[in-house]
Amino acid sequence: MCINKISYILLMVLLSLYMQACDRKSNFQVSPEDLYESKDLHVITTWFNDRRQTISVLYGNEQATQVRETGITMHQVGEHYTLVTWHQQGNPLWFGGQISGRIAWIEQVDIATSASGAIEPQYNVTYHERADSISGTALEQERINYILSRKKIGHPGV
Amino acid sequence: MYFFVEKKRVVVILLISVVAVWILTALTPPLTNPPSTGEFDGPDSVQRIFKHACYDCHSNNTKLEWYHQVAPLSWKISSDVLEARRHLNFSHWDSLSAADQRSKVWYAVNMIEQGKMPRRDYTLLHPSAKLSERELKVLKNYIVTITNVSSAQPKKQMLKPVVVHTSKESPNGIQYFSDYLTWKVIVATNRFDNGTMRIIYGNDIAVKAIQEGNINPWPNGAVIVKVVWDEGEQDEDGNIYPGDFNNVQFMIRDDERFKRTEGWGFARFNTSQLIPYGKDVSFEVDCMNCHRLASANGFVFDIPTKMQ
Repeated sequence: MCINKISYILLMVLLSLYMQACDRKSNFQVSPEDLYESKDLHVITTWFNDRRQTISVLYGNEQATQVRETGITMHQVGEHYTLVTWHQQGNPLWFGGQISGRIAWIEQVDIATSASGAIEPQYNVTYHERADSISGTALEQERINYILSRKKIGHPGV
Repeated sequence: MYFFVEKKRVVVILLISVVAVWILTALTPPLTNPPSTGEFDGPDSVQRIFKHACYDCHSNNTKLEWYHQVAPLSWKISSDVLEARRHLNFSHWDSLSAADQRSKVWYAVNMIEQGKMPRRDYTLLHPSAKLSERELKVLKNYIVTITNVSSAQPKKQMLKPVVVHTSKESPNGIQYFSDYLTWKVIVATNRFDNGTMRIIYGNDIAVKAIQEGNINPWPNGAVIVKVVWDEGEQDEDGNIYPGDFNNVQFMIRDDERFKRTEGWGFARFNTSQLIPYGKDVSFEVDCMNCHRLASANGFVFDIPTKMQ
């Protein structure tokens, strides 16, 4: 009887140690292709949209970042803006968290000079589903206005 | 003759073992169930789930079998239960603020979803403690509901940049720095459990580690910075913009310096004043306990991933 009890306890201790060593196998993997190569651009702001299930980050070059920070409404030639929009997905490691997934589209606005010498924003969109549908339309101007009206987000120390 | 001598020796060894176990058991302070001050007060359906899956360790209503009280098993059970109660005790639910209660339930549900709780050594002996998919769904619906109710308030838009007054240092010696402003964005995230949105930056070593899938473990020198804002205004198209700056969090990889936290040094600076989080260095253990949920990603929650 005593041997049975001791064997049982030892068995439980061993099983306990064994089970603690086990871990649940994850069903996801790292996807470096979803990183955006921003080069020398800086973050201007970010937002997300639960209806469309997207997350966006607006970048700008030095000139654009300064303009967005000061809130100046007159644009200068040389400003560059890149708006990267990712599909939003649930964070596999935290229920309650949503995280950027695949890159959906990338929009770019450059403040340039037209043939007549006037300051003119030039718009370009690449990648996926919206690539051919915006350029040269009223929606293009709408997107330019939207991107250029974003204010710089507050970072600590800036 | 030889047979009888051997048999006698076995009996003596067994008797000594039994006496030793009996003495050890008698000397071990019993695990007690102190009075409850205020139990978890969620809906009946949620209470039932927590009671059958969690209460044996995470409350003062621990039910012990006879073999749980025999040393040396009783030592392990006693230590596990006391530690579990320190993390979360449903019998002292009233001692937590509403925000802490929400936060504890979110963490508990995520531990369950990740398969970390109830522990397997526990469900082995208590198979009824395992949660079904339906029960997990009940818990998820509950936490989403209580979070939506608590966050139904007007959101603010922050237009002024935050200002840093002096240099700041976390209790573990990590100082605030702003180099990350020129680093790459790894991911952008938001959390509906606490109404925040974030940008996560990585230095070159961290980005290279992601590109090469070299994250278990992450290389020394990798640094990840998470900047957190409260959710702000929502426009008519459904875009939600950042509101007030909330905090900034650092994870610094140095497997020698931060040995006791799996090689990661944690720091967090709250509000625009960048007030270091944690009264003393023990705050790191709390950080690490939560980040163990992300063990599959080298203890980092927010990196780009896709389903296999």
